[in-house]
Amino acid sequence: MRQIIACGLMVIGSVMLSGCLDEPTVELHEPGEYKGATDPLVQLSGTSEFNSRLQDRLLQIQTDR
Amino acid sequence: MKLIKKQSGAVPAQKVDGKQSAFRGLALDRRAFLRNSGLAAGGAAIGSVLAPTMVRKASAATQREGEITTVRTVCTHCSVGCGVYAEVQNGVWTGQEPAFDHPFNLGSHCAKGAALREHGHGERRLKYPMKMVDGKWTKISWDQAIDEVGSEMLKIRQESGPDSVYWLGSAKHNNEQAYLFRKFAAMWGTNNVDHQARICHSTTVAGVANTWGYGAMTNSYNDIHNSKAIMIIGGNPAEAHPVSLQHVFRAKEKGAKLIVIDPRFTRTAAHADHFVRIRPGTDVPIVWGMMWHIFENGWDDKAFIQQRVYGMDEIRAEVAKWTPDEVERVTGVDEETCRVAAQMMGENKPGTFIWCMGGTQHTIGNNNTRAYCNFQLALGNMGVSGGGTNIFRGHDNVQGATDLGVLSHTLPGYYGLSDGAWKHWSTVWDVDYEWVADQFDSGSYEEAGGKPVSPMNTKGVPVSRWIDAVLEDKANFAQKDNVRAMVFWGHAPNSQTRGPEMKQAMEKLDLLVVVDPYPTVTAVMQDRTDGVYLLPATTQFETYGSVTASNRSIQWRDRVIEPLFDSLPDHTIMFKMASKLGFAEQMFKNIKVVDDEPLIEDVTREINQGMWTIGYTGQSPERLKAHQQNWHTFDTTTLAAEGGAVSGDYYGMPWPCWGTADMKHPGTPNLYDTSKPVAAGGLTFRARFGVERDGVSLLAEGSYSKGSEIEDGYPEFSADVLKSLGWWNDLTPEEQQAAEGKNWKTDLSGGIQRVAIEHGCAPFGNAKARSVVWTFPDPVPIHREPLYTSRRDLVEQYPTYEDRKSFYRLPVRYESIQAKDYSTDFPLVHTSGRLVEYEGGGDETRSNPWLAELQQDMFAEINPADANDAGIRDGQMVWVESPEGSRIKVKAMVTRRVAAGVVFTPFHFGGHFEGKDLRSKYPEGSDPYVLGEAANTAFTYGYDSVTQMQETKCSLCKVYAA
Amino acid sequence: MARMKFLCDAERCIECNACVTACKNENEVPWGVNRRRVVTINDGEPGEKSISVACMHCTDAPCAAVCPVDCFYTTDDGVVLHDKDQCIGCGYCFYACPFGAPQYPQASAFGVRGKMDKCTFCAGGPEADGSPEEYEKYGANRLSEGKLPLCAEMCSTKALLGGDGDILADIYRERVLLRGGRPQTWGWDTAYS
Repeated sequence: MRQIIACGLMVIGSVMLSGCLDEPTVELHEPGEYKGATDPLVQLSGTSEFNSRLQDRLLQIQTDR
Repeated sequence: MKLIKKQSGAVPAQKVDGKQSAFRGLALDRRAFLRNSGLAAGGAAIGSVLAPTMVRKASAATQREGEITTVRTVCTHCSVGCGVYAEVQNGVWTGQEPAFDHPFNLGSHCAKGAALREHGHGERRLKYPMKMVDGKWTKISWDQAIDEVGSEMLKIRQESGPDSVYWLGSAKHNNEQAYLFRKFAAMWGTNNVDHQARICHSTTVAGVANTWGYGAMTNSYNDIHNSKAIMIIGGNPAEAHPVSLQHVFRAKEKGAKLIVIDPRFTRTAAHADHFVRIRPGTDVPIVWGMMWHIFENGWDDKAFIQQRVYGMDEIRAEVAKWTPDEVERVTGVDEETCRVAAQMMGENKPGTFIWCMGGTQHTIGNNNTRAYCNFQLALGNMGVSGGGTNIFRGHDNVQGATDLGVLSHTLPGYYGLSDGAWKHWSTVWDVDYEWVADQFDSGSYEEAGGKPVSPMNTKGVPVSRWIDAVLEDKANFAQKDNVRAMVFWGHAPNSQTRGPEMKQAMEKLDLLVVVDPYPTVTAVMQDRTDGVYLLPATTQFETYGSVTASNRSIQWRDRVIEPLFDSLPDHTIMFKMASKLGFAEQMFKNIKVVDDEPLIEDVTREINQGMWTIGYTGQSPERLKAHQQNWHTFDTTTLAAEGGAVSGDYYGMPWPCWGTADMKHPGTPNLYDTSKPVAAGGLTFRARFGVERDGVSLLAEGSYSKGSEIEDGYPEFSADVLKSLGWWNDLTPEEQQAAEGKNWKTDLSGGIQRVAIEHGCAPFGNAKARSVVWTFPDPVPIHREPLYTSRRDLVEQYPTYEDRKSFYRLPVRYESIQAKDYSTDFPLVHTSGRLVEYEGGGDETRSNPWLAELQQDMFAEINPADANDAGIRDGQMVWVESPEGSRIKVKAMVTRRVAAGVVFTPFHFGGHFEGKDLRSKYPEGSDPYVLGEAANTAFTYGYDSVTQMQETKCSLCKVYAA
Repeated sequence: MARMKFLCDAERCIECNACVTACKNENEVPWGVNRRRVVTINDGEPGEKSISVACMHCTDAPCAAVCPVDCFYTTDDGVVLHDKDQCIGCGYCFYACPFGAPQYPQASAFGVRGKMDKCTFCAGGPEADGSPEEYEKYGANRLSEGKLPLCAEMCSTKALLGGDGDILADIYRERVLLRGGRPQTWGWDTAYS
């Protein structure tokens, strides 16, 4: 009987402890490759004309003036 | 899913470099965020709150063809007056862009302004004229509506006189409509005309105008940039005027101190350097308490007081009574907290003083506003950039509607109701004065000096008391008969107190008419089965005209879209109604009317011809439109145009803009500022109260505006004054003819003003501000406990007024209410205020899904201690019950934002009444998305001793579980 | 090269919700979906602070890393976008996102999730820029018109800034200098590595 209880306690104990393992390293994953339609904006973004337009707009509208 | 391992080991996101780590405590506990965001509440990330008929398809997407026109207009919500770029395609409002070059808002908006385009959908609008027939809403034509309503009014007029029809106007009208509305009431023959200003800043206008001349915000939102200290009392601009905070923060970032005095820890208080929590209704004690420290420490500006203030010694005597101990006993504010506030203002000049409804809506509202004025006079903060009393008005055009006299006690331009005033306006209207007089009741309700006074010269019933004008026993009512017809022309009834009595009054009327873009709570709160008409008016985006912002700048709004559904612009409805009632010919004598629509520009010009008192004369439609097209040329701090088409003008030509438009006065950016010549926007205090009192001069001593040829005080200008100064011949012969026997207010040529200004003088004289208003019930502002007070121990020392038999035609009760102790059964103070998403009675904003989604429940803020005492938990439904027996069923929000003993409710909700949901009573498809109990249902009796402002900031209540 | 970022200045945010309704207005976002919302901590008590939060368009966006159908892509200036035709509405990105940004409209009864919806930095989706199809699925494409997100452009106190991160930092630095306080660049350490 005692053995059974001991066994039971061990089982319960291990179940209880199973959530307590602290994994010190976190695995991070690279995103997969996007396979959807190509957004024309991607071509546009990063061009200097596109950027300078947005920069001007930012300074014009979002500053205290 | 391909799981491509990025790297093993280190966790890069947990960088702890000093620069940004300080912030970590606040950031990114995701569970905390979820909890806070409310997303976790439903246990899933699914947006689950689907409104019954919501989730509209992107309708604009289908409208994306066609040329885009950009329309310049102005937000219709609050008095900041934010500019808007509306994009219109094929007549549909498809886009809204930030008006970044607008001098007031620099493109910014609050939740309401950023949701303006919904007005182009107007899904929940009142769509057609409706009539209540046997308890059912029935669609009718405009012709039928005007004919039936008009006939009923003429019948009432026949039986009871013109005063039995009440014309309740609106701060939502543009200037031209507001002016026409007042003219309409005058030609109908009644002074029973009023609007929301009565219940928002009437005590300000009365208190401030009686202190130094004009009842308006003295400086501007933009001028706050120059303040070194900012004191806000009884105002929560973070919710009521969010864009104003942009200007406040610009000052604060340059080092200005921000002090907030309020019973609630408001969203504005959250940004304050110093927060002072007072007991509701103790404005005078806290202001005198701070002035006690100011005088004690010599922070007052003695030279300024000597030159420009009359009667400050009497204030000193009253202030001396408010020792730190007494202030703490009455307000709950300890000596140190009070002293720090006083010191911040005393040592950081110029400082500005901002107040709103928290100060005005009291039985002693006029005392509060005058105490604030005295505070600024003592510090010498008046007439300087960065100083002033920056009184934030409420609705977008409440300043304009007030200026244009949609009030029961004055004609446009604060001319009053004297014979002289009527004659002045009759001349401007180009009608016979006798004809106007004949429109009025021929009887008399009052006597003055033993002689009967014509109803024409008798103040009408203020909007705050219309209920009593219907219900009061005829024997006590100074009018021929009770009010039998009410016209709610742009007014939310839930913005007014005493809900159950209002319901009763609505039911007693013969005729109830609503003219509004929305059905409003008026349509549903009564249980009538007939005699109710709902007439759809347009919003201001479906018409055009001028609007006056809080800082007195007048802005031109362009039409964005054509009227939606079957709605008509207010001035068109006025024309139709005037035609039916028989005075359209006189009313539109010099105004062109096309297809029943009066030409707005003609109305503006008529306003220009008559409003000499406050300088609404120089802002011609042409100049206003030029300003609108040149937003980008105005400096965002000074508001002056630098170069460009309107160089030298101040934006919107803040009134007074003296003389005729030809004179090109630039407008007055800061009132009473002597550092500039009057011709360039400088000013003195107005000589409004005579030249001497008890042998003491009331004129300024050695203070005058820059360039003035009279280097001392002087009285207001008239033909005689010009002659005695030898300036009469400066007038042209035509001007001399017009000016003979007139003064600066009544000379229609503008010559007297022109000549005075040419000599560097202010047309209205140069006097001292008066600290003591000897014509008011309390000449020196004193504290009086509210009618319903929980501090019975203070009643004997600070009692309210005696009851009055007849004031604005009605009896007013004060001491008979205060005499009874309700504080045992109703231990909590009930106060009310604003939410950022909604405005006024909320019919418009609760019908806008973008806003409605953000505030779906009416609630009451209750301190944890009071909640625990009453056994109430957060989120539970509770009853808030008033000593007059009315009660509202709302959600409890348990929060320390309110102090123990205080309950706060927002006043924008409506559509529930004492626990009953009235949604089914709205005309189909016109019910706002969000309904809720109106806070004011549970607010009680109480009216200001000068203006009849309603008391909504301190009543009593009890709270118990529903 | 420009790197698009959002910055919310907690010293200026007053929880007026203009950013929320501007977003609804510009993108016709349906009731129940909030691409942006304002979070307040210590509500009603001293220390009350508000922050406007939406998708922060993270560098190495966690949402993209966990997406089982790889529907995310990033523009050259760092705007994280997704393709609703690929999205299966699984909700993984919601659990991965440190800002709680992804939203799921209720597609039918029983709480079945629709396609994920989130802030696009007003840059639409893969469809032709400014097309009705793009507008229907993603809302406005302001970037392609040379404009920045409307939430930031309409902020009542200019607390919320959106645009080239270097310029935002300059604007912000100037304010901090004026205030003499310490920076409050909420979320930047998590979003932008």
